[in-house]
Amino acid sequence: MLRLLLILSSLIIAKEAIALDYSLSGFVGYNHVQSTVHSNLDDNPYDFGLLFSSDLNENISASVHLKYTGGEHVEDILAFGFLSYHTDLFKLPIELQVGKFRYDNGLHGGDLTNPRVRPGIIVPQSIYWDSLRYMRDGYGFRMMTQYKNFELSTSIGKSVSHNREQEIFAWLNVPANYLSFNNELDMEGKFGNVFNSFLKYTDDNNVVKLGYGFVDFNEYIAAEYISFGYQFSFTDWTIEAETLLINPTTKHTNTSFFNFSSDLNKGYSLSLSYTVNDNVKIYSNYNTYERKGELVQFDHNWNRYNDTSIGVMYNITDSILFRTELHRSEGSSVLTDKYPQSDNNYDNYYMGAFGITYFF
Amino acid sequence: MCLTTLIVLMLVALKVSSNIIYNHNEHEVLDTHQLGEIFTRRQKYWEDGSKITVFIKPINSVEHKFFVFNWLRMTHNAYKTKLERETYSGNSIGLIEVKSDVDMLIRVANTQDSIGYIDNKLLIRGVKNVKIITDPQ
Repeated sequence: MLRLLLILSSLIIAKEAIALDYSLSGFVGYNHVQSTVHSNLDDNPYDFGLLFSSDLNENISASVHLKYTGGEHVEDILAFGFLSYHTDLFKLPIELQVGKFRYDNGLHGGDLTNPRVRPGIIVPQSIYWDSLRYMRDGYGFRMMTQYKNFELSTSIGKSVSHNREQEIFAWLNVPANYLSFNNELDMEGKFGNVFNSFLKYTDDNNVVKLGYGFVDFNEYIAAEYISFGYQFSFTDWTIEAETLLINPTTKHTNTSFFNFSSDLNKGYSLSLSYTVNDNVKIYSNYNTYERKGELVQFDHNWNRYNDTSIGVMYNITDSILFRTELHRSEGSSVLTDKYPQSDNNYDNYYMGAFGITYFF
Repeated sequence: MCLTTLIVLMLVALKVSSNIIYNHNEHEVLDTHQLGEIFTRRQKYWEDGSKITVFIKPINSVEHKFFVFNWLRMTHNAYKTKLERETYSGNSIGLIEVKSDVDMLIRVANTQDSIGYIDNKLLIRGVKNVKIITDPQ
């Protein structure tokens, strides 16, 4: 009888079944940041994300993540979108991908858009510096493989400019004159080559991630980096240590890759979190950044940054997340996008933040 | 009353507990840890290199929460955090939600290298391509 029931039901559902298997989820949220040194920090208060992925057939899948965080960079609405081809080589799985990527630098490089997995409302800037976004977003090719606990990813492509027309051109591959804004475009030198790779080890308690990459910001300015992250989880506690070493260079200084000198920009981050229960997590972080090198010669505060923070994450319901944080900071080397350098004292200041997000 | 509704009512009436079902050529011995890796998309491939397609019930449904608790030994929020870490980073595609056990059975039976779960009261022995795991390891 039950078998008959199953067969009859299957006929009904088969009619309703969508030809394409897909996954769709998203969130919408609001964040507010207040600082004692500058009042105009919340230029991106709104969060919106939509993630779609689908297996197009046995070997090909598609994934698209749209986001909107307000502000002026509307062109960044596509966080990533790519086609992925899966095959295997001597039983070793291989993913070949083409499209726009979010280069997954650091332990949380891939987590920054989703409020539930972000390391903070204000993330450790010494590792996830806003101005390093050129290292995080780009389009091109990527190859990924996984063997037991190890994962390897290698990408090569172009960085994405904060320019809407160029973004359209980059993503749609439509010639500028076809879209009739040829006169506004100055494509030369706007796109830089990006190479990004990481090796990641994961087991029940440990995550170890080592990354290397470089980006040519334009024909004159380039940078290479090495990142290292370690996460250890034990019962309800998680501790993380990360470092990011950046070697900025110009064609004039002609510093070659792997020729790391003492003039590196160095970022360090240490985090500790405690999961109180299924709905509440308390987290804290200390991160510091020191800018060296000959590309920049500015005053004391612009060459350093350190920040100590504590925050609480509270799942009000399955779908609603609330977070709040308090930061004590010094220096402004990694806050250049938001902080004017001329008329404020960055010796010692505070930032407070809260955010609420609805997931669907 | 349509048959789909009838089945839903039956599932509510029975105390819902799940069996793992999968469609893969090789026989798999999957423990709680490995299932957790698969259902949070951290493990994306079977050992022979083929890609795993994962089906679940709606993520906030009682049946899925019950499955996560019983089989993966995780709280629901911890599960969602792990899953979203993989999918929103762009390293894995998401899970495919299906509405009912019948839908789940059809999808798994017709999708090579897939895995899902189904109410353990349903008798599905003999369904072509589908293997069953009845007890968490």
